[in-house]
Amino acid sequence: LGKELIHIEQCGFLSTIQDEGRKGYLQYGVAKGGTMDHYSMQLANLLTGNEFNAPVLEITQSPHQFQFPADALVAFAGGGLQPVVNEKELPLFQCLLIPKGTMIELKKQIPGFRLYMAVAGGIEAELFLNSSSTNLLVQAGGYKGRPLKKGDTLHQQQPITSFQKNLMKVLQSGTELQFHFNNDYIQQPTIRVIKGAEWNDLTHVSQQQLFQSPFSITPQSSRMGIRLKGAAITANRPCDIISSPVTQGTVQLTSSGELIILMADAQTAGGYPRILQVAAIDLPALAQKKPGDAIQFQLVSLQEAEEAFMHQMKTLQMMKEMIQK
Amino acid sequence: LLLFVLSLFMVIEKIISLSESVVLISFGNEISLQLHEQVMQAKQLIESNPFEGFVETVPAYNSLAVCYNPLLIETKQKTISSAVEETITQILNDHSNQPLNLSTFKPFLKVIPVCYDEEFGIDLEELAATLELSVTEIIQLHVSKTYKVYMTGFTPGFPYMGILNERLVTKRRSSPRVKVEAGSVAIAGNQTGIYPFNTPGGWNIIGRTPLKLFDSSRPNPFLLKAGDEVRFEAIKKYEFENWARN
Repeated sequence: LGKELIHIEQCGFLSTIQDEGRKGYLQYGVAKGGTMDHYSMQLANLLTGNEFNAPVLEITQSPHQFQFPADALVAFAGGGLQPVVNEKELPLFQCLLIPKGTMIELKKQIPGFRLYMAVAGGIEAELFLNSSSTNLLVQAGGYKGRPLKKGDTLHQQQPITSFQKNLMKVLQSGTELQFHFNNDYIQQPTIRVIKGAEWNDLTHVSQQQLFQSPFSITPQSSRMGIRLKGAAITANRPCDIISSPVTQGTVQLTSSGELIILMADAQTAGGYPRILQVAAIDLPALAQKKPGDAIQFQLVSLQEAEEAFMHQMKTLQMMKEMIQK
Repeated sequence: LLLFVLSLFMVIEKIISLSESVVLISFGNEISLQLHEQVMQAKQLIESNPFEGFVETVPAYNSLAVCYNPLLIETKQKTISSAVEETITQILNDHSNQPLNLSTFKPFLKVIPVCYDEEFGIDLEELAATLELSVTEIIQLHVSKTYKVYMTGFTPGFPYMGILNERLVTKRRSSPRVKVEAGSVAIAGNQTGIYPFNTPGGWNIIGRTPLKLFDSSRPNPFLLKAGDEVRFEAIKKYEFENWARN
């Protein structure tokens, strides 16, 4: 085991260790898994000097208390919960030095739904099929294959690099490092989509209705899928296809007329028509929506979706080179 | 004979982008061994000629997803996805005008022992009534065919196998069970499957295998994959217990 990082003194109902998910096992029916909001994971890792895909905590809205037995370099990204130390709010999207003995409280709700916490060196996790992400169905990977609970202790995955050591020294000297990230995505109501594989099966009226009024997120949503309530959407013909691959962001129209957006832990193939596909650029915004929030679909071309996503990824890459050099 | 020869050629119905990192190839609109063979052939061709950025494939009954990392692809084309679609079409075209070399596709045959004892085959009695067959006849029909694994999904390693003898074709249970025991062998529609984990499930349970469909201590933890062939072999309860003990 690596160095002790965090003692969990209080824990909400669904906080798990996640990374970018697994590769190569979709053909065996294993969900990709990984963080719901990759962008926040990448930002949090970037700020702590980790690799983009180092294991992080995905924390959902309910009270948590984390105690730090040693100095740690930490960054929060995403939303949903405000980290607080002794009634003082810690900033999100910044690199923070958490001194030994600190107790971080996460209780106050803020916009967004999922908070990501990265710690320099990454969080040690069990590998399941080459990924640290927690697979709740198989109960493998992450922290013993389950959500965290009170009494758990998290360890550091890797020794910190010399860059991270220097970063700690700078922060220990009292210098504050300020980064400015655009975090509008947390509250952005617009979700860009491209046409899905079975788009043409929709009635003409439904094709228009999808973009005319908002849909709201229902409480039945989970890491497997985000379920929507809104205008009745109908297809021209019976609503079943021969089971065919699906991916994160695929919008399915079920036989009862419900829309489900498949997310990180979704199955690998499905028999419902794939009417839309959420653009990769807006998957983080979607992951930050909580039950009751409304979203508005906006149709874009595959080219626009691709350009927006590539721009974001290249910007992240550039920032990493700038910060970590 | 002509039809048979033609069936060895690959016929791609369409190739589209499912997302910014997934291309979907469709081969036709039915469940058939012939279409599935084409899916598996395309899978093998792409995996043995991987392009820059290629990540993995996902086979299903009549379609194949090809996943890639757009960050690793350089192109002068208007979009990365159209470049990938073109690359894949190229890989398949280069090979699909030649008859399939069947010897390289010799499927892996796995014999799976199943105990059809009433303790495990908890839906056998009810099925016998619905299908107007005796329990012995159901078991006999189930073990007398070789099945193809069309795909795995639902839960890790759950094999969708077909095609059942038409006398066994039946609906799913009207309400799924909250917990089906791992190893349960079940039927629904014209398919048969095995539950790898204790999970909810709506298929009709006719027996249980002592084999582990998923075992993380094996180099490849999965017992079955798409393209494999499966035969079931009836075993007695004491054999099941001995197997489970070893």
